Order: sequence, then C-alpha cells, then structure tokens
Amino acid sequence: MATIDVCGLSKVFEVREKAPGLAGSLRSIVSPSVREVEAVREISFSVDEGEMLAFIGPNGAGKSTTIKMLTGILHPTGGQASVLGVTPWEDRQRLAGEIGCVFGQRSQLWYHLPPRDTFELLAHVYEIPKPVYRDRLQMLASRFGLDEFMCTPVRKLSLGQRMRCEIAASLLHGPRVLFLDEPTIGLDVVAKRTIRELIRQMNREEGITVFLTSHDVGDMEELCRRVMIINHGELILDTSVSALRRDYLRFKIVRVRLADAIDGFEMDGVAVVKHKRTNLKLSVDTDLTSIDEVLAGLMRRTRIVDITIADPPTEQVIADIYGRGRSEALEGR
Amino acid sequence: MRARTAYLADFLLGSVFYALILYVFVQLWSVIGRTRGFVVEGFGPRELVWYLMASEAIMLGRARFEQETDEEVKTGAIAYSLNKPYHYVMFKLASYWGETALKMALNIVIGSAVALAAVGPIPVSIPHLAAVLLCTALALTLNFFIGMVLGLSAFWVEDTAPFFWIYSKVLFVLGGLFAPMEIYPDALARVARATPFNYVLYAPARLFVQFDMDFFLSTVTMQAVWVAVLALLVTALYGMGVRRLNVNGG
Repeated sequence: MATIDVCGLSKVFEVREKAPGLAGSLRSIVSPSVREVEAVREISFSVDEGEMLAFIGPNGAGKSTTIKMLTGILHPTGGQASVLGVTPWEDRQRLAGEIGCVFGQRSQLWYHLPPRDTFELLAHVYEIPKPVYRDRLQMLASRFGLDEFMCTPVRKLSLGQRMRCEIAASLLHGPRVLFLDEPTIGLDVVAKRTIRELIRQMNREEGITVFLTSHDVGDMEELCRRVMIINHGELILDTSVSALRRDYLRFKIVRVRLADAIDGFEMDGVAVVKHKRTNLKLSVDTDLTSIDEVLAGLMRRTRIVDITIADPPTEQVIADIYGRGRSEALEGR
Repeated sequence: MRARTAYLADFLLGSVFYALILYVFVQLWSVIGRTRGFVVEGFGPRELVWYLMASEAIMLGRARFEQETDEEVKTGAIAYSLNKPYHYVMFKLASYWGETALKMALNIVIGSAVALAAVGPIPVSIPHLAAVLLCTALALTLNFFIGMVLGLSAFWVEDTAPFFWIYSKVLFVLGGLFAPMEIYPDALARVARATPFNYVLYAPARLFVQFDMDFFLSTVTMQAVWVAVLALLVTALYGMGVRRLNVNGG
C-alpha cells in the first residue's frame, strides 16, 4: 500500500468579492458577490514509503491547499486521499501522531518562550515517554545544532535558527511522513543548504517519507528524486528530477556587469537575451557548455565586475512545459 | 502558564489596574454608605465592596483567549493548531485554565488586601469558601464556552472583535459586575437571571458575600446546565467551522 494515495482530489473555495468604495461595501452586505476558485482540480498520485517528493509550482498553484488536505486541515470538495491508510480530514487526530508538518510561513513555537519549552509541551501533546523524549531531543539538538540557543526566547532567534527548531519540533515524535510547506522561504543560501542537508539525513537514517512543496527549484534539485509540478490546480508533470533537469532545467540565466563594453558575445550553447553597454544577460545551455567556460570566455575579453547565475523562473519552466503540450508532458515515473 | 508569565512586570501590571478599580469603588460605596446609610437586601457598603472584589477578580482574572481563534484564522496559524493529536477546543480550555488560575490567585490576594484594609473582613467559613470555589470554577468554565461560541464564529466572519466587545459590555450589565441583582430594578433583574451571564459574575460573588445553601445548589445546577448546552453548541460549531475552513496565506 502506498504511504500517500490521492485520487481525483479537488478543492473549490468561495471568495467574496467587493466592489471598491463605500457603495461597493454596502452593496456587498445586501447582495454579496461570490466567485468560485478551483484551487485544486482532480489531482491523482501516490507516494511510496521513504520517498522524497517535491511538489512545486508558482504562487497560487494549489501546492499549500493540497498539503493542507493531506494533513487533514482542509476538507476537499471532491475526491479521495489516504495517508498511512487514514483519510486525513476524517481522522485528523489519529493521523497527527504519525505525521510532522512544517509550514514555512508560520510558526508552532511559543514566541516568548525558549524552544525547549515548546519541545516539552509537544512531548506531552504527543505523549512521548520521558526517557524517549530526552534521547530524541538530545539527538535532534545535536543534529540540528540547537544547543547554543535552546534556552533563548524564540523571538530573539534568527529565521534560520527558528526554522531548524521548527523542523526539529516536527520530528520530535518520530513521524513516518513529513510534510514541508515551503520550509526554506526567506532563508539565505547557507541556511537553505543546512536545512536541506538535515532533511536528507533524516530521510536516509529514519526512512521518513518527505512531501515537500516549494517554489524554490533548489529545494527540489538538492533533496528529491521525484518532482510533481502543479499549476492552476492541475498536475501538469510527474517525473524524475533527473528527467526534468535534462529536459527543462539545463538552461541557466547568467547576468554579468562588465568593466568595459563589448560588441556582443558568441559561444556554442549561449544565447544573448539582453545586451546593453556593459550589462549582458545570457541564456546558457549547460548541456552544450559549462558556466566556467562562459565566464572564461568573457574574462578573456574584459573584467567581470558583477555576476548573477540563476535558474529560469519556475513560471518560465512551466510555460515551456505548457508550450510543449500537456499530453506530451504528462508522464508516469 | 509559562508563556503568560514570560513578561512578569506586564502580568503584574494588570493586577495594579484591578487594585485601582477596587480603590475607586471603595471610596464610592463608603461615601454613599456614610451619607445615605443604605442597606438593600442585606447589601450595605461593606458587602458591596467585597461583592465588587469578587466580581472584578473574576472579570479581570479571565484569560483573554477569545481573539486567539480570530487571530489564528486570519493569519493561517490555525494550520498548526489543527494538525496536532488533540481536540482544538479542549486545548484552548486547558490553555485558558492555565492563565486564569494564575490571574485569579493574584487577584484574590490583591483584592482581599484592598477590601480588608478598606472595610474590614466579612464572615466566611471553610465549607462556604469551598462552595464558592466550585461555583467560581463553573463560572469561569461557563465564560470559556461563551467565549468559544463567539471565537468560533471566526470560521465564518474572521473578525470577532465586535462580538467580544458586546459580550464584555453585556457582562457589565446582565452579569452584575458593579452591583448585585438585588439592587437592580425587578424587570432588569428578571431578564439578567434568565441569561447565562449572571452565572459568570453575580452568582459566585453573591455566594461569597451572602452564602446560602439553596442559592448555591440552584446556582451550580444552572451553571452545569448552561455549560452543557454551550459545550454542545461549541462542538457543533467547531465541526461545521472546520469543514468550511479556508486557511489564509497559502
């Protein structure tokens, strides 16, 4: 039996709309205008035990709505789902003991108290026996580097420290499935790398199934073997990360500011997207040429003052996927 | 409890306000008592001061949990409250009692000190105090469920601040905050006694100042009935609210 099994899951929200101004406010009391928003449209997939799955998509795609249905927080409008054999919204309390959740934009830590107090409360909530709690906390504190600020009020912690505490709190009771809703949002590059490594370790050592939503492609690339892309509530791609990288993410966007203006730049696998005096924006096909070679080619011409290397925006990747046709893009694992 | 006492000065300052209110009313009732010499249904100035001490101790000792649900729904933090292996309402009740127990203990000490200094003691006995304690515990539980009914409306309206403002004003009048029902006009007293609000403040305070067994038995019976009715209503509202929940913020 799959750890997570979803069949035709849908969620429709009713959103009240109000015309601007006082007249609009008064009219909305007498005759409210309601618009239906299909946040999730009949998605189906399954996830096996121990798998690390990335569920990515742009803002408003339906990622968080899906994860909230799978954790039992939201009731779906249609379809079925089961997590560890339990229908999440029907038996939320029973499922809660087997899953851990981290919602990147919110916190479960008590703001004015040190993390240790939250961990103690969670130990009582999850009825973790004292010796088990002590050992588990010691392991998590050492693994996540929490000892130095275990007694510091949460309000005084940095975002990276707080997120490490959040993930540790979600793992305290030894869940079998970990739902991470944008766990690296707002973190710097170093903090992101730390969080990703910790999640990888927990998956490797404890066999925890990880269901990760993000619109940071780096989370997907560094953590997961499988990726699903959702947009406008529909699952538009379900494939391996290697296939996605090979087919869609081999392009990198390189922005450079040069010391001197140059007349264009030509190299195999490099397309000049924008060129204005000393500023260049290049699209580099990393299958044909490496970033090193591009930079070496530029440095032979002049000095590089500033450089940015980025993946194409997820929206562009998804637009490309749409451009190649939905039927071609939808494939099994 | 730990969260509420994280800022001890802030926590204690609330009790300074309580002492101030008591002092003002001590002066008021003392002047009225001296100039008019009134006693209504056994309530003279001394009884009124102790009555106010008890009713204000409860009014200001209640944990202000009401707008937590409101805030959690608005910010989407309710996601974390709902994905734990406990019943949301029961967790709120436990959290409410943690803070209320602390605040009540402090208010009783401060209120008793002010009232003793102002008007001297009133006759009490241990069984009498035990009965008042039970009545007060039921009163505070009743307050919780009234607050929870209002708080759960956040699943529909998101902003419940107006409802809580109205409730606190209703408690002033129909709850008998400033004076016992014995001083009210008959018609108003009848209306107040038909509502659950008088069982939150008036009943335990009146029992404290003028204990009688019949009143105690009828009061705790009605408090238990109201708690049961409101608990059922809260259960129904929670079940409906959770189904239609729209968690803000993505």
